[in-house]
Amino acid sequence: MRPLTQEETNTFFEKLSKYIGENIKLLIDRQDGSYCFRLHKERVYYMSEEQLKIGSSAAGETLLSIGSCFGKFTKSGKFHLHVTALDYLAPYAKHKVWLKPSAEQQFLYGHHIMKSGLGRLTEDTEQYQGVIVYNMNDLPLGFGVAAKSTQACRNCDPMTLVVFHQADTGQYIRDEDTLT
Amino acid sequence: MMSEILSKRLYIGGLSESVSESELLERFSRFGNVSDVSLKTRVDENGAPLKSFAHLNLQSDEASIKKCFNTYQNAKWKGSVMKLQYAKESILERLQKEREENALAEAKLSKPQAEKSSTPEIVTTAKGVPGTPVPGKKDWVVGKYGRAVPVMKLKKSYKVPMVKHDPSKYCHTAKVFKDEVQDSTLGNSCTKLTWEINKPDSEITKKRKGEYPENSQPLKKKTVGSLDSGGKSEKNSLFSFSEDLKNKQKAFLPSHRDDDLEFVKIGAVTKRPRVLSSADTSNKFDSDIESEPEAMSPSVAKQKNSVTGPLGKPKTSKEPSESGPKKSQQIQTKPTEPENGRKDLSKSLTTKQNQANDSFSYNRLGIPEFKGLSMLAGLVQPTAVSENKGTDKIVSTKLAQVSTSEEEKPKLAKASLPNGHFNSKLRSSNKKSLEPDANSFTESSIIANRVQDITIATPAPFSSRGEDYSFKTSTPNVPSEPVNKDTTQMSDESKSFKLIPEFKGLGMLSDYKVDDNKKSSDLKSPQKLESDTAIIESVSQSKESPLLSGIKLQQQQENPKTLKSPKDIRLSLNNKENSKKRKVPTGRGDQASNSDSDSSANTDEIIVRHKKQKTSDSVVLSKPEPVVAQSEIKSKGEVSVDRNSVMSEFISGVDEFDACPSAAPARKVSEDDSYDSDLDSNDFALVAKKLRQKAFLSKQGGVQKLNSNDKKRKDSSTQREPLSSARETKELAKSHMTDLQSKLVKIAGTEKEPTGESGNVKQEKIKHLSEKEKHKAANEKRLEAVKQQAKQRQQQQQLMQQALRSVDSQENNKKRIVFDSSDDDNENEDRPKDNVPLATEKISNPAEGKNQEISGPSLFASSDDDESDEDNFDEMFKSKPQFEGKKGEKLLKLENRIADKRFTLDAKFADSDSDEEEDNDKDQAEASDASEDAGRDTKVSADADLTSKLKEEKSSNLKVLEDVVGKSTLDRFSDKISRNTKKIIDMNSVRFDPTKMNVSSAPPKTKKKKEKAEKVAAPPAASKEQQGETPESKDVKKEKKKSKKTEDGEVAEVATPNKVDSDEDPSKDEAESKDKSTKQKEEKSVSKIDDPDSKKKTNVELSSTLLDMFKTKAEQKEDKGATFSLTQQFGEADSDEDSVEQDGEDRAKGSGLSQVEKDKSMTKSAAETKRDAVSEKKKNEEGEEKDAVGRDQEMPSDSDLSSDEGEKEEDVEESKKSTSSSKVKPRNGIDDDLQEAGKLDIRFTSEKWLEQWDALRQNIIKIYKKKHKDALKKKRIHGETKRKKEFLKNSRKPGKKQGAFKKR
Repeated sequence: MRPLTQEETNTFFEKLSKYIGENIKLLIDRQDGSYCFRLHKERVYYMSEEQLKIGSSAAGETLLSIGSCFGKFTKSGKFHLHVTALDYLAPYAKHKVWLKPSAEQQFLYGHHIMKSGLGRLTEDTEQYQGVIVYNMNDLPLGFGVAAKSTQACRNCDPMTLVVFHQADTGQYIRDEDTLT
Repeated sequence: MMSEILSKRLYIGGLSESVSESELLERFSRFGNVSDVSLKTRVDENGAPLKSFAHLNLQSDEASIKKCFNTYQNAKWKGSVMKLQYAKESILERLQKEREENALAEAKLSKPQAEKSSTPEIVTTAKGVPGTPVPGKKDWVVGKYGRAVPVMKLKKSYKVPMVKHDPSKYCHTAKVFKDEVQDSTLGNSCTKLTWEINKPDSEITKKRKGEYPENSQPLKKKTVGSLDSGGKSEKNSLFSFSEDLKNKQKAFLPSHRDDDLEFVKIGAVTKRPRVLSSADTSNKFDSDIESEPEAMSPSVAKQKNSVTGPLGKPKTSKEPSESGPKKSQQIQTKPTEPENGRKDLSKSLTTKQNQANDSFSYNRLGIPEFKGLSMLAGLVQPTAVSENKGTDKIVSTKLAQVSTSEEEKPKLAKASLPNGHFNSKLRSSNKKSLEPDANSFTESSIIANRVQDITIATPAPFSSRGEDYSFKTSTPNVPSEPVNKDTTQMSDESKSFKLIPEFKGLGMLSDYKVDDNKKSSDLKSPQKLESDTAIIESVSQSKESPLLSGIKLQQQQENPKTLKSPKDIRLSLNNKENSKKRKVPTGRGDQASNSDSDSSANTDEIIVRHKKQKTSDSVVLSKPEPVVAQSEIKSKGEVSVDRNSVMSEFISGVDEFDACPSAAPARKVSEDDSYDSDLDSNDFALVAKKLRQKAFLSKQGGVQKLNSNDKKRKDSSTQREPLSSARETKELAKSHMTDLQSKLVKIAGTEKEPTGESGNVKQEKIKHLSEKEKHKAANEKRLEAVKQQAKQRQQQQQLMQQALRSVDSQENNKKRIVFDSSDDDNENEDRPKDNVPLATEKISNPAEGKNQEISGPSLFASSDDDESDEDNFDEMFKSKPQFEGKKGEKLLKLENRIADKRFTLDAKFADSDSDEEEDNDKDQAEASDASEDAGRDTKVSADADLTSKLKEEKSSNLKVLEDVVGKSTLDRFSDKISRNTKKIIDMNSVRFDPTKMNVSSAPPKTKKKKEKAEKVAAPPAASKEQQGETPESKDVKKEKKKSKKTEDGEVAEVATPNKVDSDEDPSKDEAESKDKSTKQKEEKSVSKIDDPDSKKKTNVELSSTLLDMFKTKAEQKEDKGATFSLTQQFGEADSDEDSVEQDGEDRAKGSGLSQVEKDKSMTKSAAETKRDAVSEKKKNEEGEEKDAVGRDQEMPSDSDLSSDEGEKEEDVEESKKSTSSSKVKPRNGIDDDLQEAGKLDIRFTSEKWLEQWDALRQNIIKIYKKKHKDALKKKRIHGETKRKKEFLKNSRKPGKKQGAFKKR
């Protein structure tokens, strides 16, 4: 377990900022205590200082998870967000997508979102902007990337993909063994 | 040679330049006529001639031309070789020729056309087979209809140069329009050629509009199909149009889904503006679709209802579905028609019923059918069925079905119950069924007819009432009741009687009373002939009951109806819900007269009761009295009988009234004497009179008791055992009991059986009474025991808690286990000094062992052993104690010999040395302390390191973030955050953290909030332990003050009545006593009292001024000692309040003002505390006295204590109430001051206060005004800010981040 390097933080924050923009600051600079990101087994965990203290006593190999996992660095150095980060992304989300009840299940099974399943959509969403996916009751279901800008969404076919699936809460069941 | 002259054009080449035309002419003229000579010379660039040639026409015969060729061919002329050739005609000649030819051709062409028109070819070619070429002409063929048609040759494309189009081969496809058809098509307008499909919902139209059922077909197919259909139009139409079409065809799904899509502004999450992306038409379409099914559904439902309404019912009642519509018709038409329905029914029933019964039943069953109202049918059917005594299970099942069908209707939930009764009744009746006579059949048929007549009329009111199902259900019960009775009782006559009440019941509904009476009278006459007097009696009575109900109904009361009917049912059904002291089982009492008499007795009894005491129960039922009279008058002949019966009934009623099973005797009497009841009834009448007198006398004394008794008996009558009745009659005086007994005995004397029974019952009652008392006592004891147990438990718990607390505190102080991170070996070093970890010493020091057990670090004893060994290095070389002395030597030897480690002899075999241990302990402790310190230091340092590292990390992270996001945005964002810090609190992280106890470190609240919080509920912690005695006294004063505040009168009430309000001590003492008696309560009250009085400065000022004013007086008063000084109170109170203020703000700090005030009041409070203590003692004594008194008053038992406590608690609560009531006011803020003033007012009821009032008043008014102003201002400001906020909200555009925050 170690803090992120400059490079890593850069990539990590770049990824995060696609979803929550400058709200990352709220994650770093919290009023209710000091929190930090830690890299462990190529995964980035977000934890409080207390947790860090406790976790630092554990041996590296034995430590499965600490705090909440935000995602992992791939071998090529990219960063992938995990569903477990949803709890932190959702409240700060800049761009949101609301799913119709009919499309909810599809999304939760890991499918992309078609326009027909789109209930609402934040205006001014650009293409490839990270979006948080909610159902109509404002329950965060997951997140993804906007395949089309809002303007393009207006005119496009109902069967066109609007949001690329990245992570959804269904993964807690599907990827139970790999999620940390 | 000369024969033929040819004109040939010759080419002569290879001529020299010098040759001229004349020379040429000269030379060739010898062979013929030469003309038109043209000579041409080719010239090169410089103008030098290269070649020359000539053309000329030669006219001559062939031989001369040949000659010419021979002579001049290759002949040399002027140095060059000539060449002769035939040449083409000269251009001019050719042109001329052509023209001539053209002219000729034209002439030729015109010639055949003229020929055609003049002589039609058709005729000539008509006989030819289509396709055969026209003989004269090329490329002309005979067509289908004999016409000559030209074969066309078309040049189509590059690949196929020519295409021959033979029309004769295609002529079969040609269509011949006859003249008429052509006219019609042409005559119609073009608009008629196009058409529209009007149906909006047909599948085709849907598809055309681009909507497909979601799961019908794969999408691709659809699109293709639609494209195909639209392909032509696409080609033909304008580009834009085609595009539109395309869109429509492709986007059939979006067209109705697009509108669902919403685009939300980033900020506005809550508002959710709807942005419709597609046309409105689709929207409308949607709505249409939605609305149509809605519109459809009701209609469908209606249809269903209309279908199932009539049909569903018959189904459940096993009636054929055809009868449904028929019924309705029958209602309108005639009673003769229902035969159809009957027949239908008959089919279903014939197999399982006797013939006589069958016909009867058909008639009966036909009636309900005929009525057409399923409800009525359901209810009347049972009655009809009940008449068929031989009815099978099918009938019962039918009934059940009917009941179920009725249950289906929510409104008729009640109806199901009676039906259930019916079922049971019917079964019983079936069991006891008597064989139907021939008479019964005839009679019943007659009656049935009559009933039919009535029923024709009845439907109308039923239908008009519509919703009064419950009422209806109740009414049929009435008729059914006598029916049942009758069925159980007699065979023939009963049936006829059944019907009478039945149609009375119906008549009641339809207000056909007069007719009913007539009919009943009509019916009576034949019956009289047949039956005995008894039967007549029964008749009259049976007549009565419906009449009663009928009249009641006329009086437009449904309640008596419902009341009556259940009663009757109960009567007939006996026991179960036998509320009206009815203990007559129908199983035993098989006689209608009996049951009827019972019912009438009931009424009589009620009347009597009504006379005596107008209880609520009897009010409703009391009305029948006149009715009874009426009935009596009507049935003139049977008046006496009626009266007799009434009397007998009355007796029975009285008997019942006396809670004896006299109903049984009465019944038996009637049974035994059957229907020569005149004598008996007379006897009964006599007895009844006697009883009445007696009862009157006895009851005058205990009317109320009896009443209560009755009521109770009513309740208990469901259980026929005397146990229950006895339980409730415990309060009855014994004399009463004896009276009743004697009465019963008398009755028993006149009657035959019941004495034994009644006596038994009485004895039982008495027994049970005693039992009851015993039970009660036992119960009380038990309760006491339970209470005691609870107390003991509490005490035990308290003891345990105390003990544990002490232990805990000890442990907390001394024993602590810290696992130091620096030490990897898990050394447990921080041991208390007196606790020795050595295993060897464990047993030698038992007390310590215990301690160890408690403290629990013995887990690591083994490791400690090692360590201790190391520490006591010296000891290793010391002679061990066990080896000292002679014995020791022996031991040593032994050990050496054995030389097995397992058998080494350790300290267990020798006494321990306490001194050494202690030394060891000390050493250890020191060491451990040192190590602990070290560990702590390292820990602290590590922590510091970590935090610093984290800080660094954070800053670096922020830098990175700046890079990523951009500095400006981040700055803006941070600004925003700083503005909205309160809003951004991650609710995920807001949990109770036990490691962080400083709850107060939460973000600082605004002053307003703080005040509010204090006002709403001061934390219990706020009621901090005030130093020593003073807090209590303060509380007392406070309480007292407040109680005084409320009202003097109240205070007086609270206080012992003999003391005057002006006297302050008693009230205070009382309050104090309250406090003392319940400390916990007091504490609560303290908190309660204190919390609202978070003072504002103005208040403080006021109080200070007042304080100053009264200081002097207080000083004067202090001398008096026993009397309570106002200033003290006041000062104390103020200080109290101030302290509260402190609590609210900060416990550690004391506000300056309050401090000052405290100082001021200090001097007085010092003296006061002493006095308070004294007074408290006094008060304690008083309280004890009080308690003692309370004990004396109450039953002497332990439970009294609790009750006493309860009383006290009540008192306390009272005081609390008063305080709280007073508390309510100060919360208003503005009123606070007035309240203050009020306090003063109360305190200074004496003249002194009045003197000071004027001065004070100004002050108070000023403050009040100021407050009022402030409040108004606040209000205004608040409103303004609100408005501003709203405006800002509205005006602000996206407000991206804010939305995100708001959400959180």
